[in-house]
Amino acid sequence: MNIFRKIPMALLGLSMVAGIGATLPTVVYAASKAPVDLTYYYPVGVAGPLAQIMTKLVDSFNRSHPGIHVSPIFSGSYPQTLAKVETAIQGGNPPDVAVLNSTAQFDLIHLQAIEPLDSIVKAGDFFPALTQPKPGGHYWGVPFQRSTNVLYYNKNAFKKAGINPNQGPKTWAALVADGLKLKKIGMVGIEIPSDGTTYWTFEPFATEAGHDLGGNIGTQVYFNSAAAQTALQFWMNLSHKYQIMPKGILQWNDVPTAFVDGKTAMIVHSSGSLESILTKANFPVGVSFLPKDKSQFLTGLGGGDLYLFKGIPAAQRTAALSFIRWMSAPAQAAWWSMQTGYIATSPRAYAQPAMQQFLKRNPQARIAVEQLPYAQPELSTYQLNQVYDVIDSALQSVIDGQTSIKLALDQAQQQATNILAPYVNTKGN
Amino acid sequence: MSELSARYEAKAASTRTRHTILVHVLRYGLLALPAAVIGTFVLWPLLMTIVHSFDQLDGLGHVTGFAGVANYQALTASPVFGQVMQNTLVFSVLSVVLSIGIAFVLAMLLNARALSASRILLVSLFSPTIMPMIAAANIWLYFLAPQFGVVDEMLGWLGLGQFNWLGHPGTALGSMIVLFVWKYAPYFTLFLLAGLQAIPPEVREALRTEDPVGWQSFRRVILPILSPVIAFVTTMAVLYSVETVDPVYAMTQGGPNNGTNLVMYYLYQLGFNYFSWGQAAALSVLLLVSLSTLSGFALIVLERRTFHWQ
Repeated sequence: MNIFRKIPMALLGLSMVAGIGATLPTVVYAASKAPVDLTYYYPVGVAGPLAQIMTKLVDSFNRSHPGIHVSPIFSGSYPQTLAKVETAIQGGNPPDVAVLNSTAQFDLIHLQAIEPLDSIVKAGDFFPALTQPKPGGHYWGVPFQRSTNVLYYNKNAFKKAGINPNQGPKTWAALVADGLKLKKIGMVGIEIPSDGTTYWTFEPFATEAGHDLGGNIGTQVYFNSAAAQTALQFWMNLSHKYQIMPKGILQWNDVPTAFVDGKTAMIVHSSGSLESILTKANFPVGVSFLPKDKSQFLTGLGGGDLYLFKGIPAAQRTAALSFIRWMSAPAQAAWWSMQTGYIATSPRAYAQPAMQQFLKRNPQARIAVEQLPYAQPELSTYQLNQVYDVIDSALQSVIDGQTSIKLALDQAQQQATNILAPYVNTKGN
Repeated sequence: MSELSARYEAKAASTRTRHTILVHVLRYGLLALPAAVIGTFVLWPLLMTIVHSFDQLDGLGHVTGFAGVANYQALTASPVFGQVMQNTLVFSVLSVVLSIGIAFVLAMLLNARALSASRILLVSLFSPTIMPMIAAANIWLYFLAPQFGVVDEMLGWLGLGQFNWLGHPGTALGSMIVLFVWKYAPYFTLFLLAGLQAIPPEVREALRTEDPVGWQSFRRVILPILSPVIAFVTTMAVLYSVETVDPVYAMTQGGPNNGTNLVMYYLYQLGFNYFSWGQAAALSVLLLVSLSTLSGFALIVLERRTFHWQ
């Protein structure tokens, strides 16, 4: 008699002795059932060891849910992850769950790739700003790693240059004045990344100057508005007129490095980079709202949502729903936020005792959530990657000195209008 | 007697026939597997790509109608297409000329001192070649990082300022060319060196006594002998350079401002980022036609110019 036969016998004997015979069927059932395997794709879009933190989070889910096993698959940047998901869908083997740009929902709906997640979003009490828009009247993504643009500044450098270190510059004019003072002490005044997702760092400046780049309508963009031209002129002035920002295109990943190295005194970056910056910087780091110009402290939302994919088996679907619900629950949202700097997605996550203590120690982490009332939706359209490439190229060609502001933005508007023309009559779904 | 021999012959004939059939079965049976593999994974997708380039395809790649030449029109009408073609041309021409030129000089130098310390030199030269392109690209990403990268550090010793190499379209494409030359010049050196070392010692001896300066023997003897090898490495270099995609993916994603967007990366973007499968198929067909014309042409030249020792 081998060991495998002994175990059920022993269990049977034990249960009879203990008088828990009634629970036996469940025990045997659970033991004989293989766990449901889930594939989960996720990108890393900010500075820091996010892949390790994600693996920890998923491991913790796997430990607490014996019937489900989630395999996390790091899939590169946001566009690369979208491309991988797309390939998998075409191959008839979609992932079960993925984190993708919240702005990717138009394309995902158009591809008929995702299922609505209304019940989870409604029950989650997320910040309202994070669950917009609702194409076709449904919630398609569950807010997970959401961020805003914030201004990071070096408090030591501010003191040295004779600037009040308790707050960042509040207006565009103050930004220039502070930058000039910082330049005098031999530092680079400010760096705003202009590579990778140029539109994202640029959009709040355009909105501040009077008009967004298109928000989340899906089929319309405003790339050559007077506001966009003013904002781009302001960027160009920072590097050419005032010379407080390096000329040329600044890489997304190099900007935080220059900041923590103490070379650059102020940077605009994702709030999701907060923890990595705080860990690496050996000086007190200040975090503040983006400076305002005409309106007030407008910033851009960004980051990714959890999506559930169509066409997966029923057992996987049920398991995937538990996974998404768990991942977006207040306790996990708070933990993920404390580890990364992403916004914890609901007021209930901020009410967690651990989060309250964390905020006492790291008041900088409050900024992103305090900015939410001012946050504008991220540029979100059909043919998203292509439209992003159009506006990013236009901005970069100006920053690199190849084209004039007006010409570049007019061309971008024309190209984007052509790309979006087939979708103009599509409403949501 | 004759009856018996006739019977024997008939039997032998039938054995022969059976034998021939068996040989045929075996022959085609052995061929069937590779033929099936090539048919399934090369010819069929090739054919489908050509067909799809004239089809209307949705975002998931399903056929929704006939498009005629609309895919080709949309592809060539995009301003990015023109820029990508220009980038690819500049990248390929400079990469090929530089890598073959440097490979030639290296091969001559190594050949001149083939018996001394050149083995170690050869091994170290060859190390970039055996490295996967994606690893090489990541190493260069580190080399070129502004402020703390090796290149900037070395420029710092010379008192030169920091430079964001991948931050400008021109220098980013230049960096890609340097990477290509760094990776492939040693590989081409090996072929050219093998070609040089295939020249028999008595020919070299004769050349050395007849023409001590070497220019005439180089032009009239060595170059013609090497010409098939040169034609071969040039063809390979052209194909490799046009096919370059991994460093673009790893280092710049085609940016900044599409400055390093090469044709293979654009193909990937069209399909996997823009879901424009029709245009992607059209671009594949254009590539297929131009590359096969190019390599066919190279093969013809190669055959005509081949040097025979007899």
